[in-house]
Amino acid sequence: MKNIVIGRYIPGDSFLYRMDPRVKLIALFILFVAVFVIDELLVMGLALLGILVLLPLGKISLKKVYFGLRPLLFLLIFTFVFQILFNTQGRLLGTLRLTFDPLNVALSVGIFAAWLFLKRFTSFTFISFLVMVAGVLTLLSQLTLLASFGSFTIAIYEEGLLFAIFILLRLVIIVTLSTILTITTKPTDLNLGLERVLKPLKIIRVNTEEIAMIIGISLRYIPTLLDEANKIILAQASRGVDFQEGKIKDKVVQIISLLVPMFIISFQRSDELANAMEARCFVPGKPRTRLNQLTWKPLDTAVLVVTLTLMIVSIGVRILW
Amino acid sequence: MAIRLHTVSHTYTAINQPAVHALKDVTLTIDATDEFIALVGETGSGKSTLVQHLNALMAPTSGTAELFDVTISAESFKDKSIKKTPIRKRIGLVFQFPEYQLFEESVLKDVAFAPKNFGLSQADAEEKAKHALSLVGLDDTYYARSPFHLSGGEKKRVSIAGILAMEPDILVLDEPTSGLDPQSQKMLMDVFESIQRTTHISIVFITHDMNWVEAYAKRVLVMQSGELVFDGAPDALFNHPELSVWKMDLPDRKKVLNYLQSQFKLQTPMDDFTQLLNAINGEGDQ
Repeated sequence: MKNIVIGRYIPGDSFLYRMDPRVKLIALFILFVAVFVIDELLVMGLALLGILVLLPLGKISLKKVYFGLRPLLFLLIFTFVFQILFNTQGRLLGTLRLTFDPLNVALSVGIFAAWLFLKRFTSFTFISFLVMVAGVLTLLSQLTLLASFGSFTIAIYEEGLLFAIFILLRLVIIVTLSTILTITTKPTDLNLGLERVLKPLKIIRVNTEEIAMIIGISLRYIPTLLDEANKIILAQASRGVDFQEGKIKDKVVQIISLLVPMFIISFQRSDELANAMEARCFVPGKPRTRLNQLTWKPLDTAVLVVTLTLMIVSIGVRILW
Repeated sequence: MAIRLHTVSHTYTAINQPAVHALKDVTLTIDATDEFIALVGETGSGKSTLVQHLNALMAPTSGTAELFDVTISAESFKDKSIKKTPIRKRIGLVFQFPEYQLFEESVLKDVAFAPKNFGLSQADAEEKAKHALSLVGLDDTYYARSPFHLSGGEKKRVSIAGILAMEPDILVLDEPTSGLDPQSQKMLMDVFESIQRTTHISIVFITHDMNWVEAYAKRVLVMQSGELVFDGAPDALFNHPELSVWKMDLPDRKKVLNYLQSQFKLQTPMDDFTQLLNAINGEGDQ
């Protein structure tokens, strides 16, 4: 709970911190376009390499980015596995024939149960999970002693594997870039930047100030709500709720006991916030002066030029390759 | 000894933020019976962190907390074979804000939640819940009401009943009287006192009001910047020279006594009003 980084600003100092928030948002958008334009695994690999170079330059440790990625780990694995299993284009790389018989199925279930039991004592749940999956697959494919009652063939194709890696890289790059933005930008700066960047949309009567305000408040309240969730967990733990253990049946009640107070507290918070804003005569869109004015520095121009070049290069590569 | 904290320190760490030392080498023992302890200290002195160590919600960063023969340390806290839930049943902790725990659709169900978690049947749990509700002064007209439609004070009582219904061996209360009107405050403190007197369980409560300390507590703990700076009887605290250093105040009764004493220029310190009146009358007679 404590290490969730989505939307959390972490104080620091590097060129990423000193950039104008407007430029950060535009640069992020340009890089997103570039990443979506790329359709070659090699170029995507280069893009990831670029990110890996950017991180130490911007003094952001890999660990923080990992904490940003961690909540999405499941999604990443899910897309990866599905691509491998169901994409049947290109050359066949290899097959794995799984045969099921009572003995090896029972053993697999045993291994799974052992993993469930052992994961309490290790801190490398994810790695042990991979080992467990590998173990089950080996067992099912190699050991067939009794009469089998069914079989399934996993076929891995070249395209499927490459595309799975490609999608994985794309997701990792996008999430990492967004994490860099929220780590290095104060919510207030982000909000201001967003408001300015969206300003042209006012011509087509989009209420940009309110959009910027809504996004800003949402980002601002993620850490607050996480802290609240932590307090609720402690309060319910005092009443005998064990969030780490318990049967499936208990889990439902446990989650309700967390969600209901969470909802109520969120509504209370938003009510209080609305009152506080009204008490200060806040009207969205009214011209206001700011404590910190945004200033455009040579750094910002340079960043824009670099990101635009990257985008043009990736478009060029796509057309010419 | 039911609770024995040995050189307990707790440090809050967050990514790229300075570490906060919320507790520094706190050593403390609390008996399982007949204790009535007030925990005082200015805001941010570590009171709430300390009480969360008392029922294994938190683990010390260094040092050990022995809670009913279970030793909690930084290492053993992570060991999931050591069950913490039984400790939390024996040492009940009521949080300051009832909003963090009320969730059921009726008051009775919410109060019965904890006993049910500890394995009681629905009927038994409701029996305990009804008893707990009557203790905090909520009658059967409240049973079916939604906890979210109650006043702040009533919510507070429901949340306290929610812990009382577990029948803990030690009751720990984080600011039980905050947000209540004076009458309800007195009523709740009386409830705690009568529970303490009849069942002889130990009670620890956090407060900022020295009047409650003087009127109810048998023992006071004073926290300052994460350190336990005083552990003793209330009277000893009120006469302690460092009282103002700890940002503590005297109870109203003491203030009046002191004022009258200085007005009448009495030399010997007085402990109650009868003594004082006698002294004043005695002087008048002369």
